[in-house]
Amino acid sequence: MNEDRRFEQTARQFLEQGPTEAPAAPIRAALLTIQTTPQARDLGFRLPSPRFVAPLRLAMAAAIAIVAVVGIGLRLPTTNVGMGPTPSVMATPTPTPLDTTGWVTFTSERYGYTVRHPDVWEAAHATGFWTLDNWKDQYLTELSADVMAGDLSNSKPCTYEENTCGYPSFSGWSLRLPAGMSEIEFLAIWSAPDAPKNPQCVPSPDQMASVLIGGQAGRVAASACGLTALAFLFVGTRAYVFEMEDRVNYPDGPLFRTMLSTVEVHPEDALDPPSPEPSASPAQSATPVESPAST
Amino acid sequence: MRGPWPENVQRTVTERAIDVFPGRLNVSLAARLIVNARASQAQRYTGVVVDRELVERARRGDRDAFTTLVSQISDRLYSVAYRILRDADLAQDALQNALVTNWQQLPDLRDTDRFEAWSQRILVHACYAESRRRGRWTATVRVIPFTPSTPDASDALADRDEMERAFRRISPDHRAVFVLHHYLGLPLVEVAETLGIPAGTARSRLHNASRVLRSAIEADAVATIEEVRLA
Repeated sequence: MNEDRRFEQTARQFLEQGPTEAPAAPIRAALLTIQTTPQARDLGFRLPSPRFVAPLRLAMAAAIAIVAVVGIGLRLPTTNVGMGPTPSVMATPTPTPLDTTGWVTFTSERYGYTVRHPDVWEAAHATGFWTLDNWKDQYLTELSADVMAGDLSNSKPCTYEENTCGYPSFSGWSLRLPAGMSEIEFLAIWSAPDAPKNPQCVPSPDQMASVLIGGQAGRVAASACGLTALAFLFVGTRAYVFEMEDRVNYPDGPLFRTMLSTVEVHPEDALDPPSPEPSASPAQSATPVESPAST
Repeated sequence: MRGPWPENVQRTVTERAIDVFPGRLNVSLAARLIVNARASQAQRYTGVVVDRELVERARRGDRDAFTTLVSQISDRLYSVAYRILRDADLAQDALQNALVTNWQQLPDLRDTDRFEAWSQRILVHACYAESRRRGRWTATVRVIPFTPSTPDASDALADRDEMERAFRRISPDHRAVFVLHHYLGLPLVEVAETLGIPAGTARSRLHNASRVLRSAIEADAVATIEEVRLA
């Protein structure tokens, strides 16, 4: 049994141990307290939760874009990135780029790209590969994306060890598209109902906007659930994915666009996960496997 | 309310069945194990079916409705509290405080479908408060004497003991992410939403917790090999 399996099995067994039924005493005590405890009545007004703020922001951004396009007569450039018929690209305003003076370069040798980020951010290199095989269960025992993040004030360094890093958070990874999978099919998995990240929040490929990623035409999709924005770039048979999380600001904003503009991809330097060992197990063979021979 | 059983959980149980019979998987037996595991774990992974009308009534101050809700969610909340705190007394106190807070703040809950996740968030914060109040994170470390014996059974036991010791060394917020993800089977996005933290933070906490726990087990494995060599 390899170490990963041993760890996961031990973790599960460890968590299985212990009670699964609540004792009566704390429940009785709580219910007794509740008999004499009033509820905290609200005054009928509250700020919506971040989960709902972001769609409002998205709607506002879309409204601003429509005003800009209709009122000024400006036609936003759209780029066909070679994925068949040109989709009806959502018009989004191009944010004013931020000043990147003093930013530092992050180099991902694993995934073959560089990106610049504010110098007060903390960066963590991926420790494992992101694959279509493990993406629904990623980060189980290893970090499968590079992650860069700042703290809330965005003005002082943060560390992952002390968990002071929060958001904005920028992640990046890449993979070789499996043989037979088109770029559109790859984009579509993000908006599928069973997508592991923000299911049913990511717009379908034909609703994704064009964006320049390091001077190359890619796609960007702001999650309708408001927490993240995803950007995709296809170079040869390699797909690059960049993700921005931000609960304070609209994630597909100036910061994300500026960082994307600093991306340089080097697909020839990217590493691929080791070839999967042939397995006779029906459960294992049922999962899709990335084909390293799809160059 | 959570939907059907997540795919990662399905896979987890399948792998467990395979682990029982490494290299010679008996499909029908594995299927039976999966069915049994489903029966016992389905509620944990899918959550309890909370009546939305009950939540609405409790929101409006109906204590009887809240009492019924408490009976539906308490087992799950206590299970999580125990696994985060690793102490029955602390877990009971956390559960009691969480239920009272739940009642007090229920009018603030707008989306009644989120009741269970909302309750879990309150519980986790109650666990944090318990841990701070008692200050027993390091004091409760149990020193277990290591006795080398037959490798198979004792290896797993030693691993779990090492896991226990290492788990007590990590912070409550790391524990919470680890338990919600590995015990309840919540995807990281839901863990993050439940705890009210960014997904990136949940991810890094899970990564760091896993790293600490894994190191503890690997260190123990090395020590065991050394013991065998010396014997």
